[in-house]
Amino acid sequence: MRNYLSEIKGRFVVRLSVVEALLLNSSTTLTATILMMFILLSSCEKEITVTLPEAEKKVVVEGAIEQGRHPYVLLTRSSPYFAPVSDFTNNLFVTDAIVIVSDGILSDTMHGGLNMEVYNPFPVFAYTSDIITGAIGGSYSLKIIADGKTLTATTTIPTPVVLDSLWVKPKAGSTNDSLVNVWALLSDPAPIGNNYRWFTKVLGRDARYLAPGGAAFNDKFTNGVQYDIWYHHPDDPLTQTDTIDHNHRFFKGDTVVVKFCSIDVASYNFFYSMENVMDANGNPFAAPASVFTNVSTGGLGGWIGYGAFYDTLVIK
Amino acid sequence: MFRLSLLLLFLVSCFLFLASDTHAQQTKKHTISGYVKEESTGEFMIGVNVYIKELTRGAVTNQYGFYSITIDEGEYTLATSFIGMQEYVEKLNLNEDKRINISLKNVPVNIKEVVISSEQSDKNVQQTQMGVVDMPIETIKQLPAFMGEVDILKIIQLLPGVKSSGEGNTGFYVRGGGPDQNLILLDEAVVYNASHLFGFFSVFNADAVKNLELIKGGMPANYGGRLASVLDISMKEGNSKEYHVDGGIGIIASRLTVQGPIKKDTASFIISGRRTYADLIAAPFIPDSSKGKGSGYYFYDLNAKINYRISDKDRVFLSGYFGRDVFSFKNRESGFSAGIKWGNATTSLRWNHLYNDKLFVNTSVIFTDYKFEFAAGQQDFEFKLFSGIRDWNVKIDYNWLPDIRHNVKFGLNYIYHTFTPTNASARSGEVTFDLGKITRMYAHDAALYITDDFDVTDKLRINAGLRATYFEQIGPFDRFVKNQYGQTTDTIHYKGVDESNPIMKLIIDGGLNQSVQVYRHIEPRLALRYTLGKTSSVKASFTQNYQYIHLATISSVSLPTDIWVPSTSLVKPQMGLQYSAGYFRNFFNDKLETSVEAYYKTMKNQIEYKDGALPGDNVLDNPDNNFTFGKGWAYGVEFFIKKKTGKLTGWIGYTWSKTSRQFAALNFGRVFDAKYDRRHDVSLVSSYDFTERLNVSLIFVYSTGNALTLPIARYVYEGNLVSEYGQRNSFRMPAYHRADLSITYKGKPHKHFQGSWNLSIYNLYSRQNPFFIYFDDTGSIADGTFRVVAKQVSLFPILPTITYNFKF
Repeated sequence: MRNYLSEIKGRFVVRLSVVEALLLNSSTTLTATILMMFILLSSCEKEITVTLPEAEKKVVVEGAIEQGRHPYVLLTRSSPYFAPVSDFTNNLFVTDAIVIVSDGILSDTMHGGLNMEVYNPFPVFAYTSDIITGAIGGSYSLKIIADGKTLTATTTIPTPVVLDSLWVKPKAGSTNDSLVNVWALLSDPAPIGNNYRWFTKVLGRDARYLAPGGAAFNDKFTNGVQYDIWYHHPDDPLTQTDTIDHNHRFFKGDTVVVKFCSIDVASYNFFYSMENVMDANGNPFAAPASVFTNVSTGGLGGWIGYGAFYDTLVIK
Repeated sequence: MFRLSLLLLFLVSCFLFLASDTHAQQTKKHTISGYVKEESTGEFMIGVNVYIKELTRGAVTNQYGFYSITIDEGEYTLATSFIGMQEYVEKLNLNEDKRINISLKNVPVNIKEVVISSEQSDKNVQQTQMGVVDMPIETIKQLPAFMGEVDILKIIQLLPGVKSSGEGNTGFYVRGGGPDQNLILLDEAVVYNASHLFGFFSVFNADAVKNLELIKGGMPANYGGRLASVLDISMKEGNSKEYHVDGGIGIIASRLTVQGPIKKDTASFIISGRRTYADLIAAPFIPDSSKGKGSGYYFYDLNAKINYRISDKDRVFLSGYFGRDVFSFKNRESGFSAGIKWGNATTSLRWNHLYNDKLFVNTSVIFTDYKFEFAAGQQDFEFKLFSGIRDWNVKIDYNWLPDIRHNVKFGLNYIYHTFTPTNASARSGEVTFDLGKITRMYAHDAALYITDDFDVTDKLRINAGLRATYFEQIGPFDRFVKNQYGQTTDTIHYKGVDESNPIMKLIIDGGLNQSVQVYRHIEPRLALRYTLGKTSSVKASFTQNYQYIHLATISSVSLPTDIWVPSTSLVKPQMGLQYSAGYFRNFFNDKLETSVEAYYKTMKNQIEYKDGALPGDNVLDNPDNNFTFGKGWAYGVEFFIKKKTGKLTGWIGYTWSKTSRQFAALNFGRVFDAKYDRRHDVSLVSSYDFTERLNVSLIFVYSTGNALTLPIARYVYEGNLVSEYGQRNSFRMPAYHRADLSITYKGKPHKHFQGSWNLSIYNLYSRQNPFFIYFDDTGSIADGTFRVVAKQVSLFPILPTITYNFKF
């Protein structure tokens, strides 16, 4: 056990994901960045036509189940890389699939329909169940028959980890103290293998819970340690309105609901690898990687169980 | 196993044959031996053909310039042949052992044509080795140089079967093998990372190099430890007659070499240095207000060598190399700064001893070290990452020449490796993050070999050898045992004497380095040549090689962050089998050499990172936990035409080849093209002496585009766009082609001074070769303007450079 850090007095004042980002990507990304700086001095760039092999349209599973709540599943289709947006949006949702969810005892065929909650304020086609409810420690499987394929996925709901406290701090070095980040003190439980995902929702400002970049992390370097984490205000990828005006910060006067979730390792691997692929987009030096998925062969995406802990912070 | 026993049997019979052969001879035999050196500089010469005219047989000087010929008593004519050197001829009455040290004179340029045509070298047809190229440095220096820096590794890439790893890059791939499968030796010391500036320049300063030899197939048993090739580079010894200073002033770097006798004809030295100065030149022009002020890059090299002739029988050499790349990056706005530093250091101490005229021995003690360090900081947050490899190496190599028909080599080699896989430390003010203790990995790496190159009949010559290798990973070592999700479930500790406090450890642990994993293998090597007349021959070879240390490359380009790792319980030694056959023929009195060689290779236990692995995953983990293993194969045909003499010299090479890999955990287990698979590869190298002082050289290269993996589809998750990648390396970049031109004009030779100007034009017709392809998104999905475009980035347009070289 490497928890001598817990003996160190005082709190960590560095966001974990900064360490992680540096650790996990630094050497390659930095050398690559530097190399790119060099070569861009003497290089030239032109647009070219690339003929990519015809990609099969795959079914993407985006589903979640949380303790005390009913599950939802969105089924969408992947689109060839260069396909026009219309190709993407016109036929995005799979609306005629059979989706069966099971908690090991009960199973239910989920009913599909227009749903206003999941992607609030955007309506989406989602499959939901009124019979199955998430419970801590439960294991939930999905069976999906869609576009002629049968897909399966299983997830679990781990025990939530309670955050010790929440507070806010302005960005280091910032003179505007009305724009802040949310900080939390986390006591990681002793056995190694805790995986987390962080969400926030500002009441009145955010229509749903949103996860910022680096929201999924684990205790590889911090097992059994009490330490601080902090996050900025996440962007809604669908509206992207928060980029300039809000400077990715929480404001004084905001009421922030933090949803701090424990997830299983497969779910963590999914989010972690998805962020890496998104970060690597356009970086020619990054090794091309695929996103880990807990959906069976032929499918994409993730079926995630959340052991959620909620806390509210009013920023004064 | 059957194959192995067959080979053993064969070898044994060969040695028996040798024994019976010597007994059968009644007439007395005597030995002619000695060293060959260049008259003007006193440098010993490698690869000089020393032969008996009457027998049309002889020997070739070894790496230290030594030759030995044992033949029956009689009257003979001893002669030499070497391109660009005058022939040495001596009539002799061989009635006792003779020591003949030969000094060769340069051929004056204006009579080159005449002298050379009298006696040609047919070494390429006669030697048993195939897939071997040796090249004197003078050949290389006239060719066009990228940014004016003469680079031997870039010339190597112009040979058939050798491929460049990319635009302006010194990395090379031999016959479908990976970059870590090349054994690069500088004065017998292994150079682990032969590149500067992300591969744009090699670490070898051409001014300090005497000769290089590349073995791409049929690797003899005296070399081992790598699957694909050996690049053996010899440094100059230093002029033993008089002092000389050579130098060059180029646009990005300058060089200076000083050499001379310490004691005439007994001891000499050479020191050669090189440094880039783009940072120094640019610094004054960067305004203090610039946010990047303080960023910069430079590299430097230092080569030094001393040799001392103790007696006619003993010589010692001490040579060293030290080079560093230093990069610093500062962003004043964000307060972020980073520094990267990497480089090699090698030292070799060698002792040549002649037991007698027939037995030459070289003993070497070699130290080699490669280090990479990365440090970054922002405000009071600091982050450091480092990796490297360090070797202590002892080698004893015997060369026994019992008879003109035999050339026997045997010896042993022991290396103690210390690997430092990626280690990191991070700290924020007073608080240190736990990134694990510094992990190192230790290994013993030993080999014994014997090889004989001998004439079975007048026409058939065989080079047969065996290499026995032993590799052992030893403690201290912590094995992190993983479950299927990559979580550590257990840690196994292997005891060992820690370098930091050996005495304490000795007391506590009893001083034992616990064995972690042992590998033992026998590597048979066989090459044969059958002459079909005076000017042609067929050759064939078979080699089996094991490679115990591996370079794991995570990115699509070779970066200094790539780490060397030993074979462990998870990483099995790489194994390669190569079969090759070729036809060699010389035309026009050996003026034109031609050859066709075909090869087939299989490679086992190849290593790649698992899908989605990142370098940081190595921290607090065993690097091999992130590896996945597979196999590979390669085959191809190489055509080569070379004109060595006359006003016009050069070569044309064409290679057709294919190399593939298969990994259970990559690409859904399907076979994919290796990253460096190129179907066609053409290179043309030509050099024309218009006058004694004006030379024009032209290079042209063409090769199939690089294989790469591209995204084929995208999908939405939680409103984010995510890419889905297609089959590994299933896409090809456009073909690569380029021409370079160089014009060298030598100033009038003065008594003590010679200057020359070199104009090199890289990418003569400014071809926009793809360096990488990336995708760019524009617009937004919401309003339907979203569009994805592919963009190609090319590195260097036409790039002329001027270099001034001088010597006095």
